[in-house]
Amino acid sequence: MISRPMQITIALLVAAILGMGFYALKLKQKVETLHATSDNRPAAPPVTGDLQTVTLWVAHDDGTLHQQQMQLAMPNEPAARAMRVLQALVQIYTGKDSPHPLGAGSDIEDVYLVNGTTAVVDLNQTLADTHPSGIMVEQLTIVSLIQTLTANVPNVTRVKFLVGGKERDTLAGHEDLKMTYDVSTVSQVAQELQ
Amino acid sequence: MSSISVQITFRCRDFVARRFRIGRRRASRTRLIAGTVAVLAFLLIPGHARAADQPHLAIFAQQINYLVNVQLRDGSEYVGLLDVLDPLGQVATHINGKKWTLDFSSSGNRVEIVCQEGKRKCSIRGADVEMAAKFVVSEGHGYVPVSALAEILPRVTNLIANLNVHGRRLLLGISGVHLSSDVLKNPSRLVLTFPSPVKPAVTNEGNTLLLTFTREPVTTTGPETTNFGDPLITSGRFMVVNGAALYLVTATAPVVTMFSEGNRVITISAPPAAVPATPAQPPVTAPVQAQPVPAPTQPVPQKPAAPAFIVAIDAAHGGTETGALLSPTLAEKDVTLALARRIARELQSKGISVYMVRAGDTQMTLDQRASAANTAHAALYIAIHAAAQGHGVRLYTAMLPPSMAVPTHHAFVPWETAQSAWLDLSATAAGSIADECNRRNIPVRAMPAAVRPLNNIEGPAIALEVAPPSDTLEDINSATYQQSIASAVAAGITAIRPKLEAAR
Ligand SMILES: [Zn+2]
Repeated sequence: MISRPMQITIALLVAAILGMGFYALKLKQKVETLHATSDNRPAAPPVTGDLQTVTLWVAHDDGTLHQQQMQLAMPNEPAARAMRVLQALVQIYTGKDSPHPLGAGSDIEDVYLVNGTTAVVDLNQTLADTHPSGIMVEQLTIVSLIQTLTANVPNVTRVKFLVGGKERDTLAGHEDLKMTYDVSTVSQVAQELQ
Repeated sequence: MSSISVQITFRCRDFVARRFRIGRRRASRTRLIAGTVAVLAFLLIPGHARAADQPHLAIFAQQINYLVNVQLRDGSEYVGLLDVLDPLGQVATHINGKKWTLDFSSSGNRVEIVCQEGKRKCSIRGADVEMAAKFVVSEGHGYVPVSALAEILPRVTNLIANLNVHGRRLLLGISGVHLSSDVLKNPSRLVLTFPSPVKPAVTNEGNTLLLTFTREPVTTTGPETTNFGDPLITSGRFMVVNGAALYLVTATAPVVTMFSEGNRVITISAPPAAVPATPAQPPVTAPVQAQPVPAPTQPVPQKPAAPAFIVAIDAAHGGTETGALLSPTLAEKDVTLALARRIARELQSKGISVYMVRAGDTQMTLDQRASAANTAHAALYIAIHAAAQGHGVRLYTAMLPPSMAVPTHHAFVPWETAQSAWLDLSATAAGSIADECNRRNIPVRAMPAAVRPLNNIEGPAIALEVAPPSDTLEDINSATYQQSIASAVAAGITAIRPKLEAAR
């Protein structure tokens, strides 16, 4: 058993280490910003971005998809844009009065773009592990993610899903995650779900 | 009597020796299993039919099938509890005056059975089990009436026991190999389909043919005798006798058997006249030699038999893979199996053969399901799913981009896109079933979905997801609702049968 004074000491040390790390990160960012402004190259895209109106395809558990407008601070870089809109969509699903409830802690781990046309969407483990099981309910998640991504990142023609950085058979027992989705085929299905 | 049978009988009575063998249960268990297998093999050899005269109880469990000797005492049939339980786990027995105790353990589960000589009950886990006749101890060995096993075994093993007392057959924790019979015309033939391969002994005598299944726990849901009203095949009779399933076919002329689809289909028809045209798929000959059959007295049409029209029904999920938990007490795997069975019965009532990809609570991978359906050359594959979201029925076809479609008659079909060539026909099948759902006021929609294993099916394939009819989730299990869906599916398939047959 660790004594209480020792516990407090450890907690302070951990806080100090985290604080130092954060301070170092801030310093590094400050140096980079100074460096960027002192040369002629264009400034790095802002982390937050400009406020833009974006379209999200939101699934409803009655088996329908609804286009929803939203104001979001959007970066310019395509993969970052994709990440931003997909996270916003998942936040709707995990939020209060969700039309398509997903498990608490569900999130998008990362989005990569290959050749600008193939998007690799890495879902977090919680999203897949807590996802409701069923053909329709799983399809709604995947189709809404693909539609939301392609509505905001043009030129993407194929989408591949990973879970926690790894390939997975199905989302929750039904929806095929082994395949790479063809965006135009998914778009036709999305029209039927509207 | 074979020496092996004698050895087993001897072991049952050798109580004193057994008390000192408890520490070596594994070795003796292996010996018993080997002995059982040998007895079964012995019974299957023609010419040793008299061995079958010895009354025995055939027990079919998940990993093992075995025979237990049945003894007659005071007009009741008895079995030794040790003989019944020994192959299923670790067993030890003790005797103290009239009190006889058996300790059974299997995968960490320990159960004590306490019986009193001369009493009509035994105590299991502290609860009494009533028996039709009194408990007998003979030479230290405890015997119970066969009928008592239906109560005793589920309590001891936690498995469902399906006991046929008169047929002396017990299915423990398994649902059996379901036999579906179907008479087809032009030429007249009886098609028996099974969800897994079967190897019955075939005996011809005059115009009758007897199939004897001793290795597979063959079951049927229909009546014992079915009159087919066919000019050649008069009737089929299913019975279980001394542990074996028998199927007796009565015809108006001698008939022969043909095995196909990896011994999952048995076709009984008139012998082919002269040299028949080479069929597209040569049937496999019967594994057990049929007796020579005299040539038919009447001319038989020479049309080669088309591949049987079989619909593969795949009750999704199973075993520990339960699918969606529709409610705390309702697993998707059970709803899918119940609905699949209803659909199978409806199709059979319309003269369509059915191949149940999953017949019981077994676990199968998606690839295994696709392989099974492809091997069965099903005219249509339907995967049955159940979900809590929404209402009614949703029909799905594979979601493959049209650019990936391959020509229909390719010698080698890529596994990942095997469905491509069949997308149109799959959509036609889904549409036909949707029409029948609409006719019955069942809310329905049909669309593509990336649901496995549709992409891997080499033939028309759809997935059906059933949702509750109302906001009450439990109504998904309503017999009326499921029957209405089963009827719509069967009617939808019947309506496009010619199209499905033309594509074969
Ligand atoms: Zn399912």
